[in-house]
Amino acid sequence: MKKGFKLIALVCIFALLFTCLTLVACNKKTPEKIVRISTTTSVNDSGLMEYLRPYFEADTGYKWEISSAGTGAAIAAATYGNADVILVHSKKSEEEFVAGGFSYVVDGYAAERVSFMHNFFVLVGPSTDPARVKAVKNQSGTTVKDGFAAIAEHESTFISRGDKSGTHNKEITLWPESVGIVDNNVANIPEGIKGWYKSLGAGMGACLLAAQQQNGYVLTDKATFLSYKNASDGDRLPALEILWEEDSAMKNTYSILCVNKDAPFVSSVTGEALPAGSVKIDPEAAEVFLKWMTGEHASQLIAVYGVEQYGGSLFTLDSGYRA
Amino acid sequence: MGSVFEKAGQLILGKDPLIGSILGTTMYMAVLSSLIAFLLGAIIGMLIANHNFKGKTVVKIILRTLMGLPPVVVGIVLYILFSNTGPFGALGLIYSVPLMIIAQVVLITPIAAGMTESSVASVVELCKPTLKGLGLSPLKRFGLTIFECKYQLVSVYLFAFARAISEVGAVQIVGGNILYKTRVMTTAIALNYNTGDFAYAVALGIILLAIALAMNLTAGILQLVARRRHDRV
Amino acid sequence: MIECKVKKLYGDKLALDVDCSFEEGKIYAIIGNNGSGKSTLLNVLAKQVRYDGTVNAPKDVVYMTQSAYNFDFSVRRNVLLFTPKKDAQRVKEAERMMQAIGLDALAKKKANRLSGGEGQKTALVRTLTQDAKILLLDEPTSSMDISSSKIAEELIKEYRARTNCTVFIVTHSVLQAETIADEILFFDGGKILERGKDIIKTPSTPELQLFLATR
Repeated sequence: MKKGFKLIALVCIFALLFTCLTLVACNKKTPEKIVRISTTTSVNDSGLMEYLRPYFEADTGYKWEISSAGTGAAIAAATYGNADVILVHSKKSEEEFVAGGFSYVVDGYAAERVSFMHNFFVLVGPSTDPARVKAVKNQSGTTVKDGFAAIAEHESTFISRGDKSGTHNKEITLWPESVGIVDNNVANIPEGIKGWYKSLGAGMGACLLAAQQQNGYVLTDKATFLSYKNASDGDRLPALEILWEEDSAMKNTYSILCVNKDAPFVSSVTGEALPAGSVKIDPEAAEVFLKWMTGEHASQLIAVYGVEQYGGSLFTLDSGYRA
Repeated sequence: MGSVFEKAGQLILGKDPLIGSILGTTMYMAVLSSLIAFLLGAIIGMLIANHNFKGKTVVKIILRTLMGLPPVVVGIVLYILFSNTGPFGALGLIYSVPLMIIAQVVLITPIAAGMTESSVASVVELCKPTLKGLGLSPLKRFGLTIFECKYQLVSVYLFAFARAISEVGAVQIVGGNILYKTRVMTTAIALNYNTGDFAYAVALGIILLAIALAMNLTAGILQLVARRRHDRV
Repeated sequence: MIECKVKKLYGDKLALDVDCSFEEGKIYAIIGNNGSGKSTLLNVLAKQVRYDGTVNAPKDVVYMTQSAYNFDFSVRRNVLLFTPKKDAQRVKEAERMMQAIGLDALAKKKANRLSGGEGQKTALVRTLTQDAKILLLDEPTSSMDISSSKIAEELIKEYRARTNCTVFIVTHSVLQAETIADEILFFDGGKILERGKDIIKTPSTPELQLFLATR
């Protein structure tokens, strides 16, 4: 009966070899010039990149391949050698990336992090406003942190992303110390606030819908909120409205970081250092992307993005990143 | 929900510029991965059903455990292995359809094998003594057994295809959901949900269901025709 | 000469314990209660189970098992499954057998949708299209009506005459055993208790007497 085993093993090995060979053969290298961009889902979801794509491809002759994942995975993709450039919006993670030697200063720019545009997170909540956030806002000298304090004080339902995303990372900086949220680790949420502080571990869309259904407050990027408000089949968040926006504490800065081809890459399996230059990174493509995104044409395009659909631009361009 | 069906209609009629690319990638990935997984799985399942060997129960338990492989975990492991800093990075398969197919094959093969094993075991039990008694070569016996299990195998394939076309976790991770390259129906649905375009997401879902329905109908009709032809005396 | 010196245990239970020899070219009928070792002997002769001991028998065996299985083809195709199409004489012979036992009317019907008796006829005719040195039949006519059963017996005899093979036929019909066999074996508790041409008429053990009395 050992024959049966041998047969199974042989068949499996052959079939697997065959599969791998066909797949590799099928994946013939395209001669096109490609820039591999890794970005967070929220950037991809905003639709900005799809809006810019045809102009970029016409202007530069490059094609772009945007892979999107959560902030952590998007940055990890670059440290795994799977991207030439990253476009993210999480200052702390970006600084860690730079400190790790994974980025470099492109000629003509001041730093590794090229913070080229921003928008604002907005605090949205039910129109009934059980925590009286609007009243807090109308007092002079208050910031959004006072609004968050009001929510905590009234123990009004708050929906948290709870997924270590850029939005989640921003949210945890906005609570007063007394609430006891210390970091983005959901295991550290104090027992006492669990009655009203709901950590969902889900995407922005799911959190917005949860807030709609549970009459809760939620921190969101404006683009996603507006796209749910102006969905093709009507207003999907009729109970919610923007209660606080344009507060400097809620500024959401987007940065481009080119990946350093000589970065200290380590094997993704063994953790051993890989020889310099062994990981295929295309800095030329990355710089083409960086220069185009910070150039004249992209600036014009970004400045008007969203005006037609939402009545206001979704992103504001920054300057001062040049050397 | 009228608008959803309108949207689905528009998508099917090709009024959406992206749908062609997404649909093409989806079909290519689903057909190829389900075929490979089915062939591997069916052979493994038939061999296990056909042979009594020491440790058969253990093999079956392992197989049934593998049937529950979490797609996201498979995605992450393959991502690590096929990243440019990983052992198979030189193949350049990260964020490509072939790697998505590999992920699907890893996920679906145990399911196809397990389903084959459990659905053909009774048939094999019935026809094995007769086949052995006829003094045939093992290869011929195997061929005839496969023939006897054809309806079960068709069901297994359809299930493999349904899994391949509806899986999202692993293909999202290893494919990266790159438009015009690795975006498939399921990852597009997830994306459109995130961006709040529910109508588009549901419309894509309707198309997905329509494809599955078409597959099952075709298989059903083929079986019917095959039976009819034999019944005519 | 076929020689058989075999012990076979299923767990603790002794299934077969024989030391016997058989003349080639004869028909042996095997009778006995359920679990007395009849089918086990056939399995041993067909080398389909492991056993202790030695069997000295030709390797060329055809075995029709108790639950005759028909494939998802027409009756005709099932019967001719192992007959080369070019071999006109054998095809003709198979067709003659089909006609004799009344399968010709069902020739185009799917074989796995037949009644039990019809299915058994198909399997039997298919078995008889194959040449062998030993033919093992495990209750080949158990689902057939009496007249078909008689025809089947004739076909088996013809087969023996044609191929000069040794036939072992397990049966629950004492009458069938008497009409078809050159020698009858009575099994009890895994052992051959009595064998001979006339053991039905003159049973010498109380076991066989009891067995016959309950028929």
